[in-house]
Amino acid sequence: MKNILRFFITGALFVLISSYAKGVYQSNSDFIDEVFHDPTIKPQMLWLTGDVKAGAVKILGEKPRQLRVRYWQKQQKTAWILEAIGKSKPITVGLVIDAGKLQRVKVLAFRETRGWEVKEDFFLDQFSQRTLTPELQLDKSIDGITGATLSVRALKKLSRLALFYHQQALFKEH
Amino acid sequence: MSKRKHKHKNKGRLLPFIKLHRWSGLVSLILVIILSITGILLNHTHELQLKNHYIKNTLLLNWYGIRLPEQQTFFKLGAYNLVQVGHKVYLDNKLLASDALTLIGGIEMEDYLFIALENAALLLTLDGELIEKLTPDQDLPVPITSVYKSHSQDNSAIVIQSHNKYFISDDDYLTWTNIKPDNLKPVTIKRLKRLSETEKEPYYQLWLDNKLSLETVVLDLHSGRILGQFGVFIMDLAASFLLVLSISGFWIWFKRSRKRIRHRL
Repeated sequence: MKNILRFFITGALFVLISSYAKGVYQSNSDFIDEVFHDPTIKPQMLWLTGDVKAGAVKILGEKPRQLRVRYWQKQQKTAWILEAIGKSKPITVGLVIDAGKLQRVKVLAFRETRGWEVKEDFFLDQFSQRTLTPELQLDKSIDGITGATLSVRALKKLSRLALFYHQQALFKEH
Repeated sequence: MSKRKHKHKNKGRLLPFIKLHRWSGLVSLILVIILSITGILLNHTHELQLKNHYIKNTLLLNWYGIRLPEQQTFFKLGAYNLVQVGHKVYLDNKLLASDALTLIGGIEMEDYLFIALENAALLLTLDGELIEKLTPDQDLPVPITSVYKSHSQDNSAIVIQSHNKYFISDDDYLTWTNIKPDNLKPVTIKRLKRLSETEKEPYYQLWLDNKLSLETVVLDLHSGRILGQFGVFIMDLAASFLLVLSISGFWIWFKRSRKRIRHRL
């Protein structure tokens, strides 16, 4: 009897946590305000054509769904808001890169019922100061989370993508 | 007692079981065939890709209550057909969005196509490739109630109306600025040509084509749900008959083999 009760309580808690963890944690504009503290900052765009597109295809393993991506820049610092499908729904992630190094990664919206642990700091802190190798990989491996494999994979891809886009945006500038 | 009489007596004892076995077999024959075939198919659903095969038969679609949604809009946008059926928006045969609210309109600019939905906007190349989906997250004013092409300012400027306010895009459609409609002279709504009934027909099929997978039908045949609760009851009955068949079959075999052994002794 005790075991049955324990089973139902655990199940109910799991459902409660999953539904609580789902949702929009921060709006895109709030994230940009928080990063730059500059209400006048305007978005810029990076066209995904030629080498940029080829690099994005290499990282994503498929053609990007859009032909351009918007970003915000102040000196060497850029911010990107990108989306990737975890299992079946998109995860929205804000990424800040300063002088080629990942400074901050934040999950802005999580829509799946599983894998929400990727929004926690213990996981996201691993991305801090990561750079991109010439093979378009992260310079240090990221530890996964049991039960959140697809979400972890999506976040790794997005961090590589943002680092790559950052390089391309700064290159375009010069 | 003669051998013949003994045999008759034995058969007489087993007769109810034999009859039960025979009738159970006959009654459940068709259902068992359906159960077996659908069971085999479901065991190999991945290899057979049942999930990726869709039913196009209108009768079957009707049976499942799948009917075309009321929300239907058919426009000509330049050389393209711009169509909304339900929440799906198509540019010719290409699915642009599957979560669209009302399709407000589309404008063919010099370099781009701009498609306004109530809850988003789509910026496309003239080849129909998606440049960017503009959403409220990117400060797009929503709900969009009308879309205009501005002739008074830059040619590429688009004006959208939301909450009785007018917003003009920058050259790259990245930001939207509130303007007074007086500043826009003249502002014209792009009137789009409607599609003919013959042109509409393929889109009905396109919408219906991926609504009902073969896997769902096979699964419902297997469980009997294709006939609703009655079908489930029938399949439960078939399963019960299978149970009776196996028990009566075993009993007949057991009794006969016991007699045979006794005879040999």
